[in-house]
Amino acid sequence: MTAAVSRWFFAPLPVARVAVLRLIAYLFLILDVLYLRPWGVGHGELDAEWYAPLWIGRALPLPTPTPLLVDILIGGLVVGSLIGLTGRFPRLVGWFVAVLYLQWMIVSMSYGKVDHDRFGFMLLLFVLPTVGRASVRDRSPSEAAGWALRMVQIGAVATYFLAGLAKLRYGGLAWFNGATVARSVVRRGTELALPLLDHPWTLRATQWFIMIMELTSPVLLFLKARWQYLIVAGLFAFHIATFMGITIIFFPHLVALLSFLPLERVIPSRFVRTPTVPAAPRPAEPVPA
Amino acid sequence: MTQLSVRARRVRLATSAVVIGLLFFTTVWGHDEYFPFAPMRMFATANKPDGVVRWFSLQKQLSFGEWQGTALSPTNVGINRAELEGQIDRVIDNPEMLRMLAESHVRLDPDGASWTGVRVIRNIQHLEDSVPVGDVVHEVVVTWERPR
Repeated sequence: MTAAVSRWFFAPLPVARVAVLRLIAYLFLILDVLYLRPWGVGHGELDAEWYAPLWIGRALPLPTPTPLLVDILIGGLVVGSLIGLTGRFPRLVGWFVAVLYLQWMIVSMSYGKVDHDRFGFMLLLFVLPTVGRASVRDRSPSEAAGWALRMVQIGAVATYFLAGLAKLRYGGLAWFNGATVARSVVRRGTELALPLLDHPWTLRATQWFIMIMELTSPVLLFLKARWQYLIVAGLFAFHIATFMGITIIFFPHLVALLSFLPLERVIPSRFVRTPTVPAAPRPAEPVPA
Repeated sequence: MTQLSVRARRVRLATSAVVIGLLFFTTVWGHDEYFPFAPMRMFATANKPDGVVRWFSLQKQLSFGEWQGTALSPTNVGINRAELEGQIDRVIDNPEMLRMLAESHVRLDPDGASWTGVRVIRNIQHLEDSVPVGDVVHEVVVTWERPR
């Protein structure tokens, strides 16, 4: 049992897969902080009365956000990500960026609303430094890379599965046939989604689809690679459709979902230093008496 | 192939167990406070097909004139709609929090006109079998006006 769990967590994967995902993560991070989700900037300008600290903000205790703190976080994240993109000091820079991003997210989430669109992405930032030096040209299998990618996959899948459990906890079985999707379309539906309000069965069917998809999502972790690619493509389609309907999209979560894909293949093979070779057969282990 | 030492494996497995444990624990017993863990409660509440949908919007007042809509966005006032929703009870108790939005607006948009008032509007849409019926009703929830 322990051996099986261990084999699953440490199934070796190409080092280059982590290296490519690291490039994507740090590029995305710069985009996220400066353009996609710069909400912390507004929070820094708000009176402290609006600050509603999270448990972690009170327990540590973290400072009440100010424009200065926001500038330090943004500057540190952009500079850290740029160094991270070069692959220099992967551990030091990796931990620095991960901790700063967590603090940046705490600033973002401490004003009355918490979003759960980036658990997998934050996990990705925290596991990247554990892999250390990784080249996009190095396709040799590594257990450290395997564990890191597995953790990001777990984070991405947990986002669905636990969202399903939360719906059961807060909405109960009434969620299936309730009007949650109708509510979101009334509040923020686009021209594409609004006509669906005249056909409420489409919105109820969407709810059944979402709940079944979320509650069965852990299966994704155990499928063969080809099926994983197919389902990840389907999930991307789901998130794009959601964006077209109610203009909500979980960009950081999509980055985490990439951990299921053979990203190392985006590097043309003529640049590959260590081509994948089948692992040499292990010498027979002595059978314990 | 690069293999991990026994110790490196143990540290990683323990980390995995803690992360997964915290995720489940906070999903069942936690609440939003426990971010980055906590129940992933996006769209988790069930709305009644014959109930109402409510949402807030913000209005500003320029030189004690007409009220007009203004964006409830981080770049305009420092918070978004969901954040106002999360703290609306505190705002009703303390309308001065709306003055602070007028002030953060000045800091975020120094060239814009300063506001003499800010108020929160609740918009209400009734549903029948998940289909919107009737017009959206607007009501003022809480108002702040600068003393003249």
